[in-house]
Amino acid sequence: MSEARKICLLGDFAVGKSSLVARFVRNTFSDKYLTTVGVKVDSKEVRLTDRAVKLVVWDLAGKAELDSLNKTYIRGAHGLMLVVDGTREASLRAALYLWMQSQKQLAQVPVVLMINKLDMIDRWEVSSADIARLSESVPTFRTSALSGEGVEAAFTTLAQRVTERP
Amino acid sequence: MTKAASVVQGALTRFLMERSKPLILTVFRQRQVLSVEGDPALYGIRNGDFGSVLELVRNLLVGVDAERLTVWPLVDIGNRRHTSILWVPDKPNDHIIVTDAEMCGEELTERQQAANELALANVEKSKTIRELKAVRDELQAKSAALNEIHKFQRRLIDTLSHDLRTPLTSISGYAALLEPHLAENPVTMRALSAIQRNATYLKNLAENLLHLAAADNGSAPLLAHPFALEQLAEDVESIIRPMADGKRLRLNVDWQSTVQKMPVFDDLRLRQILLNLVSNAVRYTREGKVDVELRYDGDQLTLRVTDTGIGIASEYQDTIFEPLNRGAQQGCEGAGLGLSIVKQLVEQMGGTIALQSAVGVGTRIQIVLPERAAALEPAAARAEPSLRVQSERVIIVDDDPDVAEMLVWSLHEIGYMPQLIHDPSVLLARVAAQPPGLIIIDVDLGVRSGLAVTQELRLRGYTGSIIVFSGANNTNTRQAAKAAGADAFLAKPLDMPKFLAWMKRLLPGA
Repeated sequence: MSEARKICLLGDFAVGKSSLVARFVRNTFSDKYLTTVGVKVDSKEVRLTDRAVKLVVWDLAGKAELDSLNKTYIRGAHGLMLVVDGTREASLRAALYLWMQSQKQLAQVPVVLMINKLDMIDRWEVSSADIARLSESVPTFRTSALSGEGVEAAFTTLAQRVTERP
Repeated sequence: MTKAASVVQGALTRFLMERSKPLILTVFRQRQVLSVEGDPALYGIRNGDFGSVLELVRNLLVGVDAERLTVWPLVDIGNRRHTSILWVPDKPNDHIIVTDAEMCGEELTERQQAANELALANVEKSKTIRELKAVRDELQAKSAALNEIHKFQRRLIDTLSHDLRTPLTSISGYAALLEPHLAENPVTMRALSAIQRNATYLKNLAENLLHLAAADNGSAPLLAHPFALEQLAEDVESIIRPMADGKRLRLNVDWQSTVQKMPVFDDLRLRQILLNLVSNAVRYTREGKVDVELRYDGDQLTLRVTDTGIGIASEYQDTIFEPLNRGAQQGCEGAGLGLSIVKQLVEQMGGTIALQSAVGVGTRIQIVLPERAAALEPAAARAEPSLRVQSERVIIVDDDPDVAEMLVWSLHEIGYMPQLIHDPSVLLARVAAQPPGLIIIDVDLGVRSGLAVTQELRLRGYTGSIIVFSGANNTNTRQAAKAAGADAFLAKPLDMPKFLAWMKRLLPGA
């Protein structure tokens, strides 16, 4: 049996967290926006070069800040996936704020940043310069839940990182 | 526990059990269900298949201490159904309690969905507003840039036109002065005629460009006043005659008034209209004649120009009055401004234009202008008062050596020995020592304005005549000249025959 690791997706509302999970776990996509209430938990086994790991993915309700419910949910997480809507610059600030708040709840855990909605790049507000700067401190992926671009790579990277820790 | 407390506890337990509809599973090592209390079907569990619940609980336990009681509220167990899940460790077996959170979850979902959709709509709205503002700012910036370019073009046209006038004064003036000396030599006369013809064309072009620049500025109001129809006819003929003669065309200029009173129009504009029409007619006529008729009946003025020229094809007749339209006379010279300016001026004066033309036969353009008393402005603004020459001494003040020399030469031709002064301060000293009968002074003297010098002369008590001339042939300059104390204003390029006629009339001893 592969080892299991808990990762939580954090980000503002409507940035595409549930869509990214649907793409990663079930390889599906729906363009209908359905807000997440509470949490939805899925899992998927990820094969790394030297082992397999079961990623337990917690898809949390989108918030610009960490409320008490989400604080409960992230307890025990091995890694965080910060999700940003590339077309909304404000969602980048929200993600960074959530990251900062989560650090009070969790020990230093691996983090990956997903700048989502790559399929709408002509409407992106998040600049390439900002992404380049962020990439220096956190693995950053341009993703599209619609096309799947960058999704597998982002989850695999986080899976790799969370298994490197005891 | 008292009896009452016991009753309350019992009631509360029953209430909570009814509301939460708990499903209690006793499990072994998170994988085997040992006993079930409650209705599994309420949570979508059929036929005793608890695999998905056990899988979910095992996932929930990842990262947490399974030896401790743990609660996970509002967990979506699929199909957007929400439950709260409790893990109750109780070695050797454990318990999983699943309670219904649907009432809470459903309401929350609806509220959250509505709030998020509203927030998304607001984000889109803000973004759209930002984009619209950006587009507006961009348009404003482009508009400002275009305005700057437009202003620059107007200044450029204005400057070029003014700068054309000064050398044209020299060219026309010297050509006129040379004419009597070269009359016996046909070759040089033809050359001189070509110089005069081209100078006339350039002068007309400069006037048209100036008109365009002024019209763009909205600073070209009509200035109507009584004028002599005969004089207008003579002016036009004298200017166009060399062009017509150069092409061996017959030019007939005829005027007629059926009333005693003088017509009241802006004669500068009329002159501009006629010069454009007649010079066009001469330009596009290879042989034959050009007839110019001026008719005034007391209510309206009719201008008619008829030529035996190349004519205008019917497909061009609708566009011939548009700016820079030279389609009708391909290959012929001309900037294509004249007729568009004629149309502008006629419309400004409330008149009409009629065009008749046939290719190879000729063209007739008739303009009818109503006399409008309402358009009248004080005629004094452009009146040319008679000169009060007290002696025959004349001083010319101009810092342009070509124009100054030409004026001196012109006055020599009619018997004067004018003094030429370039420096205004020298002029003031000379006038103080011995006042001349007439001072002819340019407005643009470089170091000082001729208007300021004129005003100072008057303030110092000079009572002789002053003629101011300038390349800026506009109402402002004319009025400024008058206000400064000038007796007359002449525009550059100087119309030499007219200037000499003035001199002869005002200085009878010449």
